[in-house]
Amino acid sequence: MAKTVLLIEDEPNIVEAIRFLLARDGWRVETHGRGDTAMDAVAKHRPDLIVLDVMLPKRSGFDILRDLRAAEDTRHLPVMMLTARGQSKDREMAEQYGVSRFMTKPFSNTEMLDAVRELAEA
Amino acid sequence: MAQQEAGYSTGARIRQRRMDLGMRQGVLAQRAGISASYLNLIEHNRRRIAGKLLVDIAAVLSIDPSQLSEDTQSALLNELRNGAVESIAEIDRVGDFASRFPGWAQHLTHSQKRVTELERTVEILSDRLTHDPHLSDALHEVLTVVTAIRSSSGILAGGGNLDAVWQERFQKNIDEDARRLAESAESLVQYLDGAGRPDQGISSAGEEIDACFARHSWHFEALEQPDTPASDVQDIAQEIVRDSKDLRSDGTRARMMRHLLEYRIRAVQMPLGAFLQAAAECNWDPLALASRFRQPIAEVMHRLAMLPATSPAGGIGLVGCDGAGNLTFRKAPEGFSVPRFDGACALWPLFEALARPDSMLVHDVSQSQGRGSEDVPRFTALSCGVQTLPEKLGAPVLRQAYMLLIPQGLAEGSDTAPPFIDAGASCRICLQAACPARREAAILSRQKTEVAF
Repeated sequence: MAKTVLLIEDEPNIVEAIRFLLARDGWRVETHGRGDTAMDAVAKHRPDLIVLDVMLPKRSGFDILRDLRAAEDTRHLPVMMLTARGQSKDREMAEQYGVSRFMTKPFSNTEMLDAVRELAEA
Repeated sequence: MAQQEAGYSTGARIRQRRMDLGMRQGVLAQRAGISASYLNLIEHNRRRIAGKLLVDIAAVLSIDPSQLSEDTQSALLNELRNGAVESIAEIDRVGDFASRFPGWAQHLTHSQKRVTELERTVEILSDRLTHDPHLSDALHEVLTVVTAIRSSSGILAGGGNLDAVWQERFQKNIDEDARRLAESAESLVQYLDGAGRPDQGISSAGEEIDACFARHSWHFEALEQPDTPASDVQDIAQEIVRDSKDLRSDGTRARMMRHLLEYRIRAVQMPLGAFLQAAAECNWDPLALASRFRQPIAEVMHRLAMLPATSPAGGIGLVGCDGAGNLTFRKAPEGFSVPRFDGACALWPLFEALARPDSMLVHDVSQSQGRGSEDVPRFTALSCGVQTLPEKLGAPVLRQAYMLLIPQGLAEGSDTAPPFIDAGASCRICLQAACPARREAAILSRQKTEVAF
């Protein structure tokens, strides 16, 4: 059975491209576009991996990551964070909260696919 | 004292310059039309030298007279010390340096000023890059759209068996994102453009306005004609503001505009010809002028400080401050320096005037900084504090103080000598040893300086 990736990202065209890429790679892709209800989406879809944008409407990706790491079910779930600001500050914060991987926009499709594959295998 | 001051003195500089040129004392004396023994006295500071003789000697020595005269030189030395750091071992030879290489010394002070300005710019810009929400949003937008385009185009370029529906879909997305990118890039460029002409305070508004005033020598002939209709006045003022490259933001342009319109009111209330005549008759007494022209004292003080540079009153300076002691008006007369960044010397009677509004304080001031040298120019300082009545009940009372600096010799002295204040410009560059008002240590200690000069 195909593994599920939950893509939490609010840019529709990025969502569309990543969804296409991952689906073609054999993933079942669920998407969610808001920060405040992201934890509900996680509970609903029970993904094997999460791709999480930092800048989301209503609630930041960092807060969601913290919640994910605090909850029993999702403590070890692989989470890849996307950010448009390649600032070391963001990276440090994400690492502190326990991110599994960090990807800076703009990334290439290959980078994205490789990263997701590696995370899934780890 | 004369010995200690040797590094400063005109005599020493003449001697140094002459020796640098390998010219004998007798030759210089002959060409300047004086006796060798008189020149010897000058070179050893036993005779004062100024005026035509200074100009003649400078001409023989092929040097600008200002580089031999002391006021410029002490201003230059102050600048040099101000820019120097404690770690320069040869700081006690600053006088030597400035007299021997006046051009290089000038160049160094210009570079120092420029470095200070640029450091401030960098500080503000980096602060802006880190904290400016607008810039960070704009960059985020650009990167987001670029990411979408990169992914979509990667899919299209990837070839393979992409079906027509998906193809069309990603093409449409790219087209959409490309438009969006163009817009956000444009707005980013506009924003960065604006940042280069800083509306948000890279140089302080006060400095820009000072620079604009200074460029016009604090006098605006175009606003002096009494019969100019009001609408034309507006145009003339606007033109002056528009042509001033010093004014780099809408805020400072608007402030300069207000200054010019206030200037115009003064020019109408106190017409130039009549005012100059009256001022000479009143011995440059602002109180007498205020009563003669029925004008508020602060307006008269401004008018006195903004007469044509070529008139006898051109050398009058004016410094203004607000109730917090921030300098709000800075026309520094020759021989009296007014700090641009640091706080001013607390000994200035200007600040006493804040505490004693509506009276006119008279002092005899100089900035010899305790050196007591007779060559440091002295001024009659007339200081007056004023209060602006609140706009309505409950609104704050605003206080200002102004200090008019009249070069000694312009007005006739009175019978009673006013109290003398030996002040400085700003603590950092002040040599005054035991000053009760000192806020921070000077870059140079008094001891060091005494050894040098």
